[in-house]
Formats: sequence, C-alpha cells, structure tokens
Amino acid sequence: MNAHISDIETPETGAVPITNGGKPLLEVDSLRVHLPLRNISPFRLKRSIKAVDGISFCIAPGEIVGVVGESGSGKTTLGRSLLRLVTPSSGRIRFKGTDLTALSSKEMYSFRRQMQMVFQDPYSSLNPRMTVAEIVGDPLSIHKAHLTTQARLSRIAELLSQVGISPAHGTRHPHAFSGGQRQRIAIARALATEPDFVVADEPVSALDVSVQAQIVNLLLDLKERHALTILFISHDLRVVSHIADRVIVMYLGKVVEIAPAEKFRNAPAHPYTEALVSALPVPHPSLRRARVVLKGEVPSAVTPPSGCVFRTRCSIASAECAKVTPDLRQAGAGHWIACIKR
Amino acid sequence: MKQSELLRVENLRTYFYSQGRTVRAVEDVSFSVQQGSTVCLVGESGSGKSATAFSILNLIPKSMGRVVAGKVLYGGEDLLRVSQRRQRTILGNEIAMIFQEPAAALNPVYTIGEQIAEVLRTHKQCSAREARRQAKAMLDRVGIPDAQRRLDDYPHQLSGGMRQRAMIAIALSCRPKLLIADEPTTALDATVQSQILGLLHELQADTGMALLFITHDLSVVAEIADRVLVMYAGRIVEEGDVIQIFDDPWMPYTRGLLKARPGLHSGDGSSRRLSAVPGDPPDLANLSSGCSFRPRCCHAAADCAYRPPDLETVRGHSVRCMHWRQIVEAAGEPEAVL
Repeated sequence: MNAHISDIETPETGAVPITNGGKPLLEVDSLRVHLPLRNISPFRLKRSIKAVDGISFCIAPGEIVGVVGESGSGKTTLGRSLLRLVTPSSGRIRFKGTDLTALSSKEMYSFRRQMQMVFQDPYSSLNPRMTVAEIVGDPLSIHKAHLTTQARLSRIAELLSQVGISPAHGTRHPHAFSGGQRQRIAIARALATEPDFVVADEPVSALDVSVQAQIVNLLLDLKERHALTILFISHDLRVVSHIADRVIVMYLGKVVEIAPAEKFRNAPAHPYTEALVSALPVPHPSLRRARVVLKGEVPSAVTPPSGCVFRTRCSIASAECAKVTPDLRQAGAGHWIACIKR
Repeated sequence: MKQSELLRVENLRTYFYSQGRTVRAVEDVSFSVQQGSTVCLVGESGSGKSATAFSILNLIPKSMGRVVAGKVLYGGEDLLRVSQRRQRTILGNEIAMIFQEPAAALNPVYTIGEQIAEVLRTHKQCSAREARRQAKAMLDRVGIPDAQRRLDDYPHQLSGGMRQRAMIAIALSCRPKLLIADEPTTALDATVQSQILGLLHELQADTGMALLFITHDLSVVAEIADRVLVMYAGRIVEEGDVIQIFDDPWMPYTRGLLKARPGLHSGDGSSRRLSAVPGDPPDLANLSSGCSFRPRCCHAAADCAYRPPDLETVRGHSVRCMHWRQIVEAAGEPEAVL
C-alpha cells in the first residue's frame, strides 16, 4: 500500500481528504456538533453529547457518499448539521465554496433550495393533513413563489410522475399510500426545488425488502437524470456498499475510515469496519461460520474513551491507543483510516 | 439426529375486524415445529407472521380479532381450547416468547431482577431468595456483565441490546421447550444482532429448545434456520429446508425476495440497480382474486386469477403456485447468491 502514497496529492487543509483533482461540491472541515445536556446542578461541570467530534471530508459533484455506523455514532447529526438543521459547534462546511457556518439564517435560505433532505420514516415525515400535491408543492411556494398556479400544478404533476406516483392521486392524503409510495412522495418533495445535494437519512430502513430495492433504483435513476450528489446515511452495510461510490465509517462521532466502495467491501482496513462487515449475517446458509463478534456496545458519547474512541472494543488495541488520538491518514488511493496499528 | 414433533399448527385462521372490514391476517396456515429445531417464518410487514405467533399463544386481543378456525397441538392438547388456568401454566414456562421492542415488552416500574423472579416464582414456586439467585444466574448466562448489580436496574437503565438480553433471560428462565421470537433483532444494530443470534444459538445447543423465529430478513434466515416458512398475504406460499429455499426457490415471490437483496459484493459491476419486486405489499382486507401475489408477479397468467393455488408438496418442499414448474425450468439454474 505504501507504494501508492507518493503519487497522491496531499490534502490542502489540515486533514481534509480530497477525492480527486476536481473541485468538491461540499467540503467539511473539523466539524463538531456538541449537543448540550440539561444541567443537573449549577455547580456541576456542563456536559454535552459529542455527537459529531471533528470530522473532515469532501464530496465531489455527482458522487454518492455512504455514511455507516451503529446507532449513536452521529451519522444522523452529521447529515442534519450539513444542512444546518442542527447548528455546528465549530468547524466549517463549505458548499460550492461558500462557508455555510458563517451565514445568517436569512442568507442560508437560498442555500436550502440547493440542499434537501429525505428522512427515514415516511410515516412521520409527511404531514397527514396535507394532500400529496400540497406536500410536494410546499417547497415550490416557498422557494419558487414566482411560479403561476398553472406552472406550479404542472411542476407538481411532473415531480409525482418522476417518482412513479400517478399525478391523479395528488388529491389524496398520505394515509392512502403504502410506506414505499410515501417514501417516493418524500423524494418528490426533496426534488421540488431542483437541489444539487440531497441528504438521504436511512431512506429505505423503514421499508420492506422488496420495496427497498425499488427505492434504491429510484434514487439511482434520479441521480443520473438530475446529476444529484447524495449523502446516503444508513446502518445497512449492504445497501450502502451497493449504492455508494465511497463510504464513510463513523464511530462515536468520529470518522474511522473513508474508503472507495469496493475497498470497503473487499478490504476494509480499520478494525471497526472489519468487525461491522464480519457482523453481517451470511447471504447463504452454506456460508455459516464462526465470526469475529464485536464485544460490548458503543460507549457513551458524553464521556468518550481517551485516545482512540474504538479502543475499548478493539481486538488489537494496546496501551498506546489510550494515549494517542489517531488522525485520518492515507492508506491508498482515496482510502483513509484513523488507526495507529494499521 | 432423531427428531419428534413438538408443536403442530393445523389450518389456522385468524381474522381481525376493523371499521366494518375483515382483515384475513392468517389464512389456513399449517406447519409443525420439531424438537430442538429452528423454524423461520419470513414475510413482509402485513404478511401475517406476527399474527400467526400471537394466535399460537392465543394472545390475539379480543377487541381486535380472533382465531376463527384451526388447532394448535402441543403435547396432545389444543392450546386454543385449553382452560385459562392450564394456559397460564404453559405460557412463559414451556412456551415462551420474546418481542421486537424490548423497551415496550418489559415493565418499566419493576427491576430486571423482579421481572425474572416473578416468572420463576409463578411457575417453579421458588422462594424469593432462590428466585433471585437463579435470576442472577440467568443474567450471567445471557451475557449481561456485572449481573448482580444489574438485577436492581430498571429497564430504562439498560441499552437496547442489554434489554433484549434481559428479555431473553426472562423467557428462558423456566427452560422452555419452545421459544417464539418475533423479530427480536430488528431494532438492534448489526453488531448487536450478531451477538444476540449467537446467544440464541448457544442457548439452543445447551437446552435443546426449539425456536420459532419470525423475521423479514432473509440473511438472518440464512444464518439460523433449519426449516423456512415464507408467508405472503396471510398464507404460507413456500416451505422447505433452508438449503432448498436458498438454492432452489420455487415460488416467484421467494425468488424475487432473494434477488432483491443487495449483496455486499454485488455492486462491483457497471449496474448498481437491484432487481426489485414491483408493486406494494397487499391489502389484507382487499385481496385480489385467485393467487394473492398475482398483481406483483411477472409470471402471472390468466388462470392465476380464477382460484387461489393449493399448496403442492414435492420431497418436503411445498409451494403455492400453479406455474412453478415452468417458471423454475425457464429460469434455469439460480445464480449464486453471494
């Protein structure tokens, strides 16, 4: 692997792994989101959940980047903070060169049009009192208020048919649709403002297996048609490694590995990624095997372990791991890991 | 290994009644569970798999629906027709159940220790001290660290994985002959899921209990099952040994499900598209005529609409499809699913 390192460009800033020569659409630099906990007593130290703790990465235009990790690893907070639905505590988020963290909420407004989100649970992310046409049309009335009624309606019909919902069903309410159809409607709503960047937070986790595949295919189609860039957050390694170009592995608010999808599948380098892949149930009964089972559970993000946050569950941890906080370093083309032992 | 039948379900029908509509959640389901074996009941949401489990234990809430026909034979008794008193001596003792959401299944105002001890004191007439001793042994057994201290914890003080372990401890405290597990790992992370599956496997090897495992996840089935039942729209549409189901699925629905799964190694090629099963899961109150999978089936022919196909059994492998022979032949050898 060392042979590769020489011919790869060094990151420009601190530790921002650049994907390729091109200009990134999104640059995240040392992003921190610490969510304060309610104070038990004024005399106690103020405590906070370190949901995202110093994360840096880039996304190139047109890329699908997957984010995986166990629950509590900070993947959802990361996704929400990129759109400033949660305010970052520190760090920079540069979208097309503009630092979003420096914008006022008013200035943020025009950027929201270019960045949209699809949520996990299509049962709670759609307002049950609105018709489907109203749900999909709502972003238009906010961000494209200049449209005539006629233009608006035809845009709504276009959006619905794009995601495979008959425009004639626009007068129905969400309860009349199945989970998969609701997720299609949520995707149509996200596309209404013609965004460049979509954060999809566990978009298929609440769906049945047969329907999951439909939604994955729909996202792939839409990505092609609209040149979308997608951050695909999921705990399902198979879905992520299938859809993504690159995968970011998170653990306790930190990035432990960034790998091209095929590296992630075939040669994960970080012991945590290895354990995640090893924990997957086998695809065929003839492949049952003994496996490396990760012991224990994710420690508290309020008081994460010193040094490497994964060391308490790591099979190769040594005394040194408690002292040194590993930085992301390059392990190959587009492949970065944070581990001092590998 | 010689096996004998532990539980037999015969022609079970469970209907729910809501807003003047009849939802046929379980429609003529028959199967049996052998001692010490693992049977997986697979299906999508609304396929009737949980309703089947609840019917076996006669736990369908009266206000929602009822078992309208069928028998659940356990040791010569029909569990649907035994007295309440007799039922109470069986449930939680010889047959136990664990649920998807341990947070909802555990009682929030009692400690874990009290909840395990309650089962032991009811069924085994233990003293309080003995029950607590056994409760601690159970927590040790299911891999809860520091069990002595955890006995006095309330459910909210435990993580999701630990709660599921605590629920398994409660279910197994009387050494049941059959454990019914309703999606016990669905709410858990993959790493914790593999811990829990490993634990169930170990406990099964130890105690020789049988496991009826309900899941929507075919990879979990591949991991643990001996026998597989595939449910669709309230009916069993395919049944077979786990190898038969994965190597040579006959029902178009099972074939579609197996192909729809993204493989860890499937994305290398040029196309990342998955082969999806078109359409949506069926509405049980408003099923189409004939075969209920017909609207989503790419092999559906005109005669599929006339009548529901019967379950056809060849060499211990059953399928509910009129055209399965032609479909399997036309498709040729199934691709390796890796």
